[in-house]
Amino acid sequence: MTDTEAREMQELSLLEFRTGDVPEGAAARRPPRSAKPADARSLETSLRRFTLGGVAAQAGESAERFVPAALYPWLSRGQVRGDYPLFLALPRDGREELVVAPLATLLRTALDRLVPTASEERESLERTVAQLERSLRARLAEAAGPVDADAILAGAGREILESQAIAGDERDDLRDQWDALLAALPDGGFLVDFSEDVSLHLLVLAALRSVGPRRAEFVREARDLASRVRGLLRADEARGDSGVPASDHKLGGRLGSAAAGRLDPSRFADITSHRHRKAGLGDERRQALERAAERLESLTFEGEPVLVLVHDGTRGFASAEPAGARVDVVGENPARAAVAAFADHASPWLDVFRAVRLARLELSGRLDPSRHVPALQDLALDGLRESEIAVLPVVAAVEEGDRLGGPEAGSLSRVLLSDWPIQILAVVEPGRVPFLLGEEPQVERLELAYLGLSHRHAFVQQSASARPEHLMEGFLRALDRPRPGLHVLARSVGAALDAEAALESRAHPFFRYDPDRGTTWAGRLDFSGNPSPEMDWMSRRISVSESPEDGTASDLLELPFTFADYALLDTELDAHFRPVPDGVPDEALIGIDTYLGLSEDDQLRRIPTVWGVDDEGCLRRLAVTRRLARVTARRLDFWRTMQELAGVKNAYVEEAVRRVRAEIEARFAEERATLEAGHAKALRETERTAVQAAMSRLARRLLDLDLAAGLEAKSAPVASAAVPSPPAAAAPSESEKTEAPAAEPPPPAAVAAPRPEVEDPWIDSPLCTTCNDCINLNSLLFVYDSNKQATIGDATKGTYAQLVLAAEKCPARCIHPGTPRDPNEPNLPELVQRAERFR
Amino acid sequence: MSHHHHHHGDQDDDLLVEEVPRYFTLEDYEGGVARWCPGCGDLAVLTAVQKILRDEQIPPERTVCVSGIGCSSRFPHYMKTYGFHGLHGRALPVACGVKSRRPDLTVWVATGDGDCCSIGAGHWVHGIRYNMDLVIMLFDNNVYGLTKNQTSPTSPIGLHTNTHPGGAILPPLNPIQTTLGFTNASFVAQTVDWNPIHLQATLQAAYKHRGTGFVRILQRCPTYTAGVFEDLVRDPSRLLVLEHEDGIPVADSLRRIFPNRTTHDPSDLAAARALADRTDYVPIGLFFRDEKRPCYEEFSERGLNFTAEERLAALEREVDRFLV
Repeated sequence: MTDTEAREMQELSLLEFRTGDVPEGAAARRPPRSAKPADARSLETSLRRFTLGGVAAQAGESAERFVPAALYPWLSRGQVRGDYPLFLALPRDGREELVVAPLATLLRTALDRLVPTASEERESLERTVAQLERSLRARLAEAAGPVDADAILAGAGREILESQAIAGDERDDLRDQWDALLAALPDGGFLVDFSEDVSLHLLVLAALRSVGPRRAEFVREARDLASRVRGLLRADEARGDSGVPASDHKLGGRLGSAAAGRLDPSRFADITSHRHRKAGLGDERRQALERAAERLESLTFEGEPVLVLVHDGTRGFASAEPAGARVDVVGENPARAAVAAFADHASPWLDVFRAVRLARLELSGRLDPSRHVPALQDLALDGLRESEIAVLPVVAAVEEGDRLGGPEAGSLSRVLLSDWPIQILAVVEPGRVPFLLGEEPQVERLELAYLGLSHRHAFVQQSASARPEHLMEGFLRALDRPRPGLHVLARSVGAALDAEAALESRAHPFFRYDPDRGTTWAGRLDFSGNPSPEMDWMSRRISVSESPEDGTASDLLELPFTFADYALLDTELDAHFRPVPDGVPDEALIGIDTYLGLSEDDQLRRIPTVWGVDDEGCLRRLAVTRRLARVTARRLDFWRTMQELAGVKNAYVEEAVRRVRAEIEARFAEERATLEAGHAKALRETERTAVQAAMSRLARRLLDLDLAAGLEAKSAPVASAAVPSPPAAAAPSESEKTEAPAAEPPPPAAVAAPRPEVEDPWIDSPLCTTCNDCINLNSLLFVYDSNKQATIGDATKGTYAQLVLAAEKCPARCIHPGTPRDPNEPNLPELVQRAERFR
Repeated sequence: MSHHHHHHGDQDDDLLVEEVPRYFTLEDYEGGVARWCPGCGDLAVLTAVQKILRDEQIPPERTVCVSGIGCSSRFPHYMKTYGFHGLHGRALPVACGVKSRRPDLTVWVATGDGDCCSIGAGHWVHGIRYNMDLVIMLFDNNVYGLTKNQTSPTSPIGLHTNTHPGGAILPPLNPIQTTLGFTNASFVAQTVDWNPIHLQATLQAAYKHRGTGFVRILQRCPTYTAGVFEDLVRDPSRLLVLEHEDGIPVADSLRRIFPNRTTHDPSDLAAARALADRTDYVPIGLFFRDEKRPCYEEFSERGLNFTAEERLAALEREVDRFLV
């Protein structure tokens, strides 16, 4: 690839946003430093007033617009590659799962498989892919809805190939390759561009994926039940109508005319036992079963929606899903209307469920018509089972988060506390905190998803269309079982980038709460999808050049992306930012992330700032209002709560770790001190004995010198006598002190003669063969345990004589009578003697 | 209204019955009160089978007990399961019939030394050869008890009975040795009624075995043959416990009771036959097992999953064969 081609390619390609790589050629410039103005002090005072005084006093002063510096390279280039265009495809023959994937990912995978190594061919294809992405954006924007993927890809691809200036042969090759590339994509899919409706497309797909197979299984079972009921009805028919077994007539037939008059076959049959079997089903029961079989045989879900979408009328959207998969219900209060919509769509199925239950009861031989038939007639929606609700359409209500947290909070609660599979899609605007907008200065943001958690047994997720794969997984999990769900989705102000920014800035953290996953937060709460989940804020690196002339990057700046930075994207919050004028001393300024960690006193001394980039690409430090700083602190506080619940950071664990570490250190210190003390003692001891040994050697040497060898033996005692070891008696040691009392005679109680005790009777139960002998003798004294093996029940409820007799009778020899409880029982000496062999 | 409501609740519970998970206790398997003599070994076998069913949580309605005629053949009456009290010697044909078309059921066969080894001997040979997945419990008390004391094929020489007041004259048949000689035998074990642990472990192994689990149970009859097992009961060292990792598990408590044990590999048929011939001790445990022997179900199960249409088609095909 030549340099020009590379540059061209670079310009053509969409930017990767999520990887966080520093994009080339999009450096912000540092503004030229001007001389310190004379009125620097008054500028600082004014800035402090802005920060402390809030919005009202300063509104309208700043006409300049800034974008968050951390996003500048991506915003300035405009074309960022997110997950869109998104490729969606339903399961079909040869493909079990749904496909929900960014088209770019699918194309890249296909490209890697087709032309794995770098080559000219691959470059051409890559360029075509890049052009395709751009061209698709325009086409999809025009279509404003899902588009058949095969058609649009083939069309756009051909156009691009033809526009390329390459020779005929080469073009044919390239076209073949291109066709192969497109053929590698899943067939029958469609493409959607980023829009607010994407969440609804995904929900329809999730409903098809979840409800579809359950319905197929239900129909299969219904058909099976119907055919078995038919078999039963046929058998009943063969038995005859009056309940008289057909064999009676056969009997008569067999006996023939010879028996006529001499034997009445019916009466003869009467004395045989088969005559006494159950009578036939009876007309009423037969008819009920026939009706049930008919209902089940004709059962079909074709044309039945899998999703009932309840909205206020503004959300009608073109559907690419199979016709009839979705129906819309327009209502003023969707959360409330959803309950009614569920009832409307569920009620027609009650007679199917009645038929299934009737058939099951009959086939398992448990049908009691007098009780079950009226009960089945009474079957209402609140009596449905999970397996039945599972085939009903999913009902989803789309509603503004503000209304669900405000006037419609009661409706939301009612849905989330029910057993009905109603999904509430709450659309929230993560940046729009009333407190910041000045509308209701005292009102903070409500955490709607957190409110959902308080219902405990509803599925709750916070997600956004900007991450369709995350959202889709949440939908699939929510619909995995029929139960209510709350889906708090971020409304994007415009491009997908805004939604990404809401996630990154912790304005709209992602999580899922699945009450079916265990009993702990760790099991139930899924925190995946959040960038840098262990950090307070994630940070992005951008390149910065020093001067306006020099376009090349000279420096990398790492910037935390806080809620305050995110707020910079929203023009309605402009009043909360003000560029820091030249001359304000750096000591007065502080990045908002650090500012939030300061004490209240220290916070007052500093001006919190974020980094923005102005229209001309100049990097500017912006002071933010204390109000915005407070909201940012609240966002961080909520983020930390979620971190703790998700187990990313846990104060208890941290505290426990701290305590254990302190304990271990204290113990080590103690051990070290003991060892050191022991060591010092040993050292002193060694010194002393060394001196003694030296002295004794010296003494021996002296003796050897003067005396004969025979005396040497005597020298040793002399030497040891020189060792000043204290005589034991001289100073009683610690151990002797404690041992002393033991030498005293034991207290009188301990030597008293053992009191004669009753030895309780017992049974070696595992050996019992359940022969009933002992139980028959006395069923209170002997009882069976849960293994039906004998054990002693109430030892006071029988005589010693019974115990001994039982022991003698027991074929397993597992009864042990012990000693008599009652010393006054007659014949005791003899009984004790007989019991001796069972001791 | 309130009256209606009250009943509504009851009926709902009833409707839910089929989806409520069940747990079976011994009581769920206990039928009528056993009318065997006090001290009869059959009582121990009855309890052992009930405990196995409880431990394995086999629904009573998926269990069938089949018997012939005799004291022990009263077994099905005392089980709250399906049961078939058959004709004398005909327990096995009935059991094989049940198993042929309902392989999903657990089948226990209760038969005695008279029922199995005398009048039913022909079925014994072929029942073993069919090797269907069921358990045969041979209650061997060495006598006809139900008909009040006649010599049975396993009565020891010299046993005084109503048919041989002067004492039985022929040497007794050895059911273990006999069964080991039948073609396609796949599980042959021996146990005693008076040791509930070994009894249950043996029957359990037979139940787990795929194929016919044949278990001869030395069973005391306190009324007519009170003496024949007396020595064995009093002196556990008379028994030789067979041990092997593939055999009947021997609990530590059993090791304390039975001093004489030997290792026997149940895959060794020749060694099993030699063991069965021993007269010095009475071996208990697993003599022989081969999981790979063919079972008759492999044939008889065919077509069970046919739909009505497939059945009809198959029938047509059969009929067509006779068309000219």
